[in-house]
Amino acid sequence: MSLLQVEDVTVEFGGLRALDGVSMGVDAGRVTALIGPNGAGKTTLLNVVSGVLRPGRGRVRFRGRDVTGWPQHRVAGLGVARTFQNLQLFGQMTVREHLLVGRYRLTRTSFLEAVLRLPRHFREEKEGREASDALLSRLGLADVADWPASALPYGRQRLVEVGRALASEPSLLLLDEPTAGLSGAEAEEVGRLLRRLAAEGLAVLLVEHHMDLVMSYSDWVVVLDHGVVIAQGPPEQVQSDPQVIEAYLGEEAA
Amino acid sequence: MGLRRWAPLALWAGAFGVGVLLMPIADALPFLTRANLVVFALHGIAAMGLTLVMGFAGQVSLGHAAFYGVGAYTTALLTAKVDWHPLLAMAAGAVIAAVLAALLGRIVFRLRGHFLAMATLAFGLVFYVVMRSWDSLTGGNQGTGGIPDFTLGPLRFDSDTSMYLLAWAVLLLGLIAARNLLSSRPGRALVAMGSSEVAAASVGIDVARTKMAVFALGAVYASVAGSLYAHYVTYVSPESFGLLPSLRFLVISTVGGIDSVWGAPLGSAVVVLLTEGTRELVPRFVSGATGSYEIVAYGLALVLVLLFLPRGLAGGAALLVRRAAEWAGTRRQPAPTAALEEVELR
Repeated sequence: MSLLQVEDVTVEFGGLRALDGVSMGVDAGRVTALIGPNGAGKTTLLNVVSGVLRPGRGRVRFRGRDVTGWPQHRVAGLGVARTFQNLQLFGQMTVREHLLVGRYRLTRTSFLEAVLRLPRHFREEKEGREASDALLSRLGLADVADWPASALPYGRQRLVEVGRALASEPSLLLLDEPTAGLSGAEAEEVGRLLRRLAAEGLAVLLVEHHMDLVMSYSDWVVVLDHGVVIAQGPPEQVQSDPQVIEAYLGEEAA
Repeated sequence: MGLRRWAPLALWAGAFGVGVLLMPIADALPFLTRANLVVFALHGIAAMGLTLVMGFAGQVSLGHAAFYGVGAYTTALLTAKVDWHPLLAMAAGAVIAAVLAALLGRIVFRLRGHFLAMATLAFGLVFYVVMRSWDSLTGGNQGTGGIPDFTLGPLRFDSDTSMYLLAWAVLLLGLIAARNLLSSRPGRALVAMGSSEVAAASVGIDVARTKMAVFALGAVYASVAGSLYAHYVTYVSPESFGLLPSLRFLVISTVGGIDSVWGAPLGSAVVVLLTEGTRELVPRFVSGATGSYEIVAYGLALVLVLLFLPRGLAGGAALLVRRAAEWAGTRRQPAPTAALEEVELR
């Protein structure tokens, strides 16, 4: 059974059906790409999986556990991390602080322990610093660790979001257009990072517009159109699917 | 690093020192009395709690004075009527305030926008009415008196000067506690939540619970200040905890700046001067003027600050400190942007 299973999920906004009976799975150690024309429901699906939205019908199972309708923080607590299409960085925080916040679910220091500076605070700060320094080097952000994230160029801000998600040591990583606004070289860099993460056993669900990236770096592709899964399979198979071609050509013609 | 790290403490020590120097001559100075110096510190403590609530829970509270009142009344009743130790009464007040705030938070944080402000306003008014009407317990409109001096072992705080020292010590503790909090796991969660709730939740932060916690924490600051206030004036009555005092805390926090816990003492100084200034000046120009003209001054100060210093006085001060640090050449790395300035002052 897949790590994440989406079963027959339907979401309606007013009269509009954003997702219509969507079923799919995401496996550990693989990069699964979710593609489709604008408005196909990709971000909506990510929001359902991460607990931002409650589906009108259908179930979401993570590690076999029914997490449908769970609040966001509880889903995150199980090891589901995500990034956002429109960057959601924390105002004045430095890059390192973003990663430390990312470790929230792994740490326990309470208000009282923090105010009184009890031992757990120091222990967890030390662990957090070491872990985030390692992650910062890995993402190539070590040189700007103490910069406010808002001062970085756009491409590196996207990396900070990925870093914050990875800092929580997730088993499922949801990425909402991580390469939007990135140069070709930067996007390649992200693609290679995703391959390495998958090789370490992480399950990656990637919403992506960059077709080259999807074709060269994903193991499995799910195509959404108007809230319906119209095709899924390995990249080369999906690429030649007539329905998929039509969906994309239709968009360009419009 | 050095200068910026110590600047906040230097700021505290400077303000404290000025106060100590002013104390003997305060009554002779315009717009200042000894009592004002004490009130300034007490309001600074209470407003610091509101700064945490506004800055991080993103919640405007129009009922903060009620928590100040919870501390004051708890202290009044427990020390004057049943002879508890002041410290114990203060702790009891803080617990009651925290529990009330958590309960209120549970309801209020389900609401959005204006409803939030309305609910806190209602809470403040209900507290005021209950204190005024529950004659047998609170003495109603007359209030309740006979509150003994605050004592700590052999120390007795029975004068303006000693109360001033005590209030400033508590203010320092409040600042240190807030700083410790903000540079730790739960504090970073607060900052994250204040900045993007959806992103905070995405790393496992329970936003509703965290808001409740910061609301309770803010109430504890107010309650502790209220307890000290009760010992200082030895008498409490409902007027000190109604709508106008709640608005005053709001003005203190906003004028001081809600990005930084140092905003509250700065805002408090401004508001004390404004209050006293209007009280002394208005009758000189408007014959027979009585009533709360300070509210006009509050409004004016609020508009001016929001126009010219949107991050409050603390934001402006942070900029000055940064400039000073640059001038002293202690900055180790190239400045990425101006956004760095606030981080250190928290």
